[in-house]
Amino acid sequence: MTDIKTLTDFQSDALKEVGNIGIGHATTSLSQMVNKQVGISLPELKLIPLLTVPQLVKNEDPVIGIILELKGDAKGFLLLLLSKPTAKFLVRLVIGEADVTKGFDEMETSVLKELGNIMGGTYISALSNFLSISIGLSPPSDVYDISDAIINQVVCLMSPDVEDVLFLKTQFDINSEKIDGKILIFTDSHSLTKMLEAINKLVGK
Amino acid sequence: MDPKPEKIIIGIAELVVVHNPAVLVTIGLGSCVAISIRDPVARYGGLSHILLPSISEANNKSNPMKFADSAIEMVVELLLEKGCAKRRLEAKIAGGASMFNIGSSSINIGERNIEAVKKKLKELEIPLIASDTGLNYGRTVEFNIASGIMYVKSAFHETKEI
Repeated sequence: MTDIKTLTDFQSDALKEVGNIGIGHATTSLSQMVNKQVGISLPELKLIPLLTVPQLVKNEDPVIGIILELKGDAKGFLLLLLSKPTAKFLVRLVIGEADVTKGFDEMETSVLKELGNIMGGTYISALSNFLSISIGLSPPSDVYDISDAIINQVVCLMSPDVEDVLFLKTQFDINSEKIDGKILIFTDSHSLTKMLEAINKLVGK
Repeated sequence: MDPKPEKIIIGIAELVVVHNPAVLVTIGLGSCVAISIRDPVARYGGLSHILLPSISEANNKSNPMKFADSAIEMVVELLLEKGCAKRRLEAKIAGGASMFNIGSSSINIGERNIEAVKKKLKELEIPLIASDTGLNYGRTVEFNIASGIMYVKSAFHETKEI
C-alpha cells in the first residue's frame, strides 16, 4: 500500500470535519463528567512528517499526560496533556477535592485516566460510527513529566513503521475560560487510505 | 573561555558536530538516547539524538541520524574529517527511559536503544566514560564542548553532571 503524502482540499476538509465530530463528542462527555460547559478551539489538522511534531507542541514544563493507543482501522495515539493546575482543577470538579500542593495520588490519577478513557472512547465511537470503520482503544497510561519528553516518547513509539502522521491538536476551555489543556491525536498515515475510502463512500463518490 | 558559549538545539533525529566553545542541547528525551562524542585535545565534539536502534532493521533508511548505529558512525566520520584522532574520542550517553508502558513491541525500545549505542561504540573502540540511562523519566541534556561535562536535567530530579 502506498502512503498518502498530501491531501486535496476536499480530503483535508472532510478529515477536519470528522476530527471535529470526534472531538466534539469527546468534549461533550468531558462536560458531563465535570458538570461544566467544555469548549474546544478549532482543531488544527495537518498531514506532516512524524519527526516534525515535537516542533509544533514545544513545552519544557512538566505536564500530566494521559495516553491511549488507537488500534484497528485508524492506528495512532490520543494524548491528553494537562498542566498541574488544570489537572487538579478537573479532579476537583469530579471528586470535589484535590490537593494542589502535592503531586498526584492514586485516586487523582485514576480520575484523570478515567477522563482520558471516556474522551478517547467517545472520540473513537464517534469516528467508528460516522465512517463505519473499526477502531480499538488501549487502556489509558499516565505519566507526569516534561511535556517535550512525552511527545518524543510517542514519536519514538510510532517511528518504526510510520513516516507521516495526520496530526490533530486542539485546546480546550471550561465555561469559556481558557485552561491549560491540550488534546493531541496522532493518526498513522497508513490508516488514511481507509479513512478516506470511508469518507468517499459516505459522500457517494 | 567564553563565559556564555552558544547554545545549539538538536532536535529529534538530528546531530551536530562543532568546535569549542559551544553547548549542545537536546530537550525532552524519552526512550531516545543522546550520545556525545568528543576529542578533548582537538576540542571538537558532537551530540546526536537518536530514536531507534539500528538502520539495518528499518524499512526507510533515508535518515541515518534516526538510528543509533548509523548516527554514531556519522558523528565519528565528521569528527575525523575535522582532524580529530580516533584513539582520543570518548563518549557519554543519556536517555533510553521507559516513561510509560503502552503498546506491545514498544516496551523495551529505550533499552534496545542503549544496547545498540553500546554495541556500536564498542565496535568502533570508543570508550563510554559516563552514562545516565534507563528508569522511567524524561531527560534534557546539555553537553559542554569545552569541559566535556554533560548536564542531565529532569522534571523532578536533581540535575546530574556526568
